[in-house]
Amino acid sequence: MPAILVVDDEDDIRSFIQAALEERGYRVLATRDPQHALRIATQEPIHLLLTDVVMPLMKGTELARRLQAFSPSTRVLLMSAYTLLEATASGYTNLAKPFTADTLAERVQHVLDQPSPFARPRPQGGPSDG
Amino acid sequence: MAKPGRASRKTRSTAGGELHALRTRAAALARRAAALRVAQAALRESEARYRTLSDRSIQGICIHRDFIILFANPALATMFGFESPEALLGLDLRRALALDERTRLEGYHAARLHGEAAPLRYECEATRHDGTRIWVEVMASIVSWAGKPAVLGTVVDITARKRVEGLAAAQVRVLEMIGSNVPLPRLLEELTRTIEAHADGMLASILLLDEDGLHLRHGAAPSLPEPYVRAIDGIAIGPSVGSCGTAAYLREPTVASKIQCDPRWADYRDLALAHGLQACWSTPITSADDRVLGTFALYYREPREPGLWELKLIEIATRLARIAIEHHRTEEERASLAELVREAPDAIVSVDTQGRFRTFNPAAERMSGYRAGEIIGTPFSEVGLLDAPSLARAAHNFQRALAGEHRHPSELTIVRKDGSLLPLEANLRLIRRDGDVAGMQVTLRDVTNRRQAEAALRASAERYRLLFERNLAGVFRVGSDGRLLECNPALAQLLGYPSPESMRAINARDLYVDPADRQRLLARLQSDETVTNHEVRWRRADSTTVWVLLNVRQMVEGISTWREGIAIDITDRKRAEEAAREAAALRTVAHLANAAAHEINNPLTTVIGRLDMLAQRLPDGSKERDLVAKARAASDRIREMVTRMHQITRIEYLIGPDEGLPPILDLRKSSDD
Repeated sequence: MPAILVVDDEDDIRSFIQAALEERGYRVLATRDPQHALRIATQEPIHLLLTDVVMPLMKGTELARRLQAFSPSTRVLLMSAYTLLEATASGYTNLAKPFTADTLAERVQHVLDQPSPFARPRPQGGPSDG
Repeated sequence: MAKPGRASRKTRSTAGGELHALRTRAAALARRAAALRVAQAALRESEARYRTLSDRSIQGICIHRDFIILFANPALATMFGFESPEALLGLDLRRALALDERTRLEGYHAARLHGEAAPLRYECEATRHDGTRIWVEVMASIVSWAGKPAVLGTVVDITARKRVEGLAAAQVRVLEMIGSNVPLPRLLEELTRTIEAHADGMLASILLLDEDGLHLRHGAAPSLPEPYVRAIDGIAIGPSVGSCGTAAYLREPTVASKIQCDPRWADYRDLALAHGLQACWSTPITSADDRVLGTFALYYREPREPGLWELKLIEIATRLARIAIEHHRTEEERASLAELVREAPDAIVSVDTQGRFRTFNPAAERMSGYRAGEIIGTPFSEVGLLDAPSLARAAHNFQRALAGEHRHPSELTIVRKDGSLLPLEANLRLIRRDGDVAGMQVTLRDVTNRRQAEAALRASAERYRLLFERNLAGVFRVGSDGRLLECNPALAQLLGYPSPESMRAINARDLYVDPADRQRLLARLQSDETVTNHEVRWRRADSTTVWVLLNVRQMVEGISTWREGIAIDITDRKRAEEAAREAAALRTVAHLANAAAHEINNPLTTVIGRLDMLAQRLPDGSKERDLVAKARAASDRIREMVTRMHQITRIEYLIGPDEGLPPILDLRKSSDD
């Protein structure tokens, strides 16, 4: 079951995403603090980092860069309520707020499906498997 | 006469004869006595006649022997100041003579007695009884007086004649002094002394009228008390200012025969009396053209009225003073003119009718490099001073001018002694002497600088013209009434007219889109001569507007005023500024929209997500699910609007100010699409 680390400073968003993804069988770890997110990632394998771009303590793109520095196989999906220029420029797949649970799930699965040279052994099955 | 008698009657006849003889003798004696009586009577008559002649003669008559007076007539007594002729008898004539005269006359006397030649008539100066001196003319001859030789002298008082002669000689002396340019103060002093020498007890004074024509200055007064002279030096003339101030003011002789009582002396009486001056007669000295030059005054130490002699002296003195003062002033003018010529920056030369140089001033020497001595006496055509064309022109002008034709200044080029050339402007003026043409005065001005200045001016004017014609900025001149007087092609182009000429009828006030812009400009020009960077909108020929930056200067020359200025088309800049302003406003809107979108999107994500979750939990077709679906639709609508707001941030180009808001920014419009 792929582990998804959700980082967003908006509690409502975080809990909605967590609920939506857990409903679809993903293991979801959520935090509002990017530093905490980095610590979590050092402690267990994270398949996908789903992070907001604009956060007060650290930008989502920065968090992704740092996390991938020690966990290169972790996929990244950026979310932003702003124009996604920055997110687009970063090269990461992004998802514009607002989004529906379906759209979220579809995009998450899409990113997880992308091949990666640093891919960990591919967990079997999709969310439906979980 | 007895007749001889006969013999017969000899006795009778002898007795008779004797008687006859006696009678005859007696008759003869009687006749002689009668004759003698007649002769004596005649003699007495003659004596009486001569005495009358002598007594009544206006000539002095005296008879002296060895200078001791034996006879004198009343005229002589009067002449020498004695009461009667008798008072003179027995006196030694030589006592009335000066020492040198005494020797001379003694010489004459001795010669005469020895039958040698001696002047029969001579003049000598003698002393009267009261010590005053007189001049006499004497005619002397030897006569017999009481049987011995004596000298008869006929004496004529020639003092008046001598005085006149002396005065005439003095006049000549003063005139000679005037001619020999003796300084004026010394000359006037000599004049006053001369006048004083010709009348007793007078103190002469000359005051000169100041150049202001209002004050009298000390001229000469060698015998007046120094403090008095100082006190009246500089007095203002007026109708009642002593004798001199009044005479100068009224331009007529002013006689104060008794200063003490004279009302015109009221202010100066005490001063004059303190110095013992009791009478003063003053006469204005007037010039040939009737200007008052000063006053000549005679003072006396006792009250006096002028006599004929004094009037004569005054007349002569004022005439001489006039000549002296005018001569002096003429000399001063001549000297200052000569100095002008000497110091003149222009060459001033004169030539005679043959064209020979007569004068050559220092400036001429400097310009030509020749010394005056090398030039004077040589005809200008032979000196080599002029180049060939100049020489021909100069000779032509010279002949025409000699013929009396007016010649305008002409330019000549002279060849200096060192061979270099110098451009000069020559002015000719005829010199006339006693009505005849005597030559030509030529003034030559170095026009090198002027030519350079003219060339510079021409170049400057040309540069200015080019600056005007080719200036990229519009340059204009506007009359005080706003009428466009002049402008350059750039202005015509700026305003869309075919040429500057086609703008002649335009008034500046019609150019302004907003008349208040012009009023503001004119108001600024009221307080400042120059207004810079005044931005206004002008209307072009095709009624479009153009933004111009104006620099305008108010010009005044005499009574005419105008404004001149430069107009620069700043329409593009203005548009760019406008666009920049609008872009900045857009950016602000975009930033706001972006921020708003963020603030909306986060909760909207939750709303949409949660509504979807809720909908899944509600049965299909239920009223609740329908309500959730409506809320969900409204959420989608919000999401669309926010999506459009998002897109604002993607506008990275600037848009024209006239094009209005892009549809994308018109939220209402875009949402209606």
